[in-house]
Amino acid sequence: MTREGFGAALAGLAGAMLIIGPRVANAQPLDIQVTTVRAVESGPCDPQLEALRPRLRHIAGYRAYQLVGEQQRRVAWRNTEAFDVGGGRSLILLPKGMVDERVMMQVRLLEGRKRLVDTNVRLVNGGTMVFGVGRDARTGDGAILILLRAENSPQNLPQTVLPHSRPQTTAQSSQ
Amino acid sequence: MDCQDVEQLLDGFVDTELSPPELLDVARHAATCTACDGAVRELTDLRGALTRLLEDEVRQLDLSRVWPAVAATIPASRPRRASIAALPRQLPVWGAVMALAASVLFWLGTSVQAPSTPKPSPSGERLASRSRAWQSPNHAEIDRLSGKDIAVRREPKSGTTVIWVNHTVEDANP
Repeated sequence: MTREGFGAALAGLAGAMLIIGPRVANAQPLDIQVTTVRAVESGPCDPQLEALRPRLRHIAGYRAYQLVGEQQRRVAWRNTEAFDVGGGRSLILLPKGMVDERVMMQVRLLEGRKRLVDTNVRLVNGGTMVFGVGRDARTGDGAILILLRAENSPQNLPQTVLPHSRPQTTAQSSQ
Repeated sequence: MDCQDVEQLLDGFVDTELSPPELLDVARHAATCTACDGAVRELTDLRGALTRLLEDEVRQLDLSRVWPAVAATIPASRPRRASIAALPRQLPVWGAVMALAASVLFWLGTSVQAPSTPKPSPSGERLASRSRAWQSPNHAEIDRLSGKDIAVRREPKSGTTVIWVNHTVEDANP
């Protein structure tokens, strides 16, 4: 093979890997976990959240946390998925793809039809991010925390669901 | 739909990112509300003006000398190919010398720096902190964010990103 021929073959291989690589990565489904937690200044803290309490307190500033619901779903890429998080609010996810071990997705938090948050994020694979709704602990009388975890993994969705979890809502195509 | 809803959806309306029912709702409201109609027109005009400004800037760019300059470098790169072709014959000697030099430098570097660890500078600490955040298992990068009364926080320990909406139902329905 000539030098030019070898170069062309190498470039072709690199191009094919560029095209195929992300598709292979995206062929794995995306596991989404949405946990809704109510933060209040006083009262009992949910035993299941006791371990998380210091971190939640750092995030929200409140003293007590109660689990409102948890939903786990395996979602398809480039499909809009709606999670009912209570209080007339919903979390709308549009997973777009994997880049550098990060899950790219559009996340919208709606209250009825009103958009509270509309964002495009790149979350580390298997990582968790938090949406908080409510007043600061110094001035407010409670808040809602929505913990969003996304993992692109070939493993099966874990079957353990915390008690008090709400029934899973069916996927809705929104907007 | 009221004026507050339209204000929230204004960007999406002008960019036609809303769903058809939402587009219709905003258009219906704007047709009956002078203030919202004005806001829509103002934002549309602003975007139009920005687009025209950018187009003018691009039109004024002189690209006529770019390709000749690129073409002028092509003949100059051919002799380098010849030198690359000759490289395999020269590589064993030069490669060995360079590998030896690199080993010596590496050994000197590690043996000199090993006994004392320099105190990181404040900027180094900031860099390390950013690096830790980047490597944290919950790191999230926000490419785009819109909404009202929003604050983004990052928990220092785990690097968890928090998007906080300072909002209550009372705010929505005053």
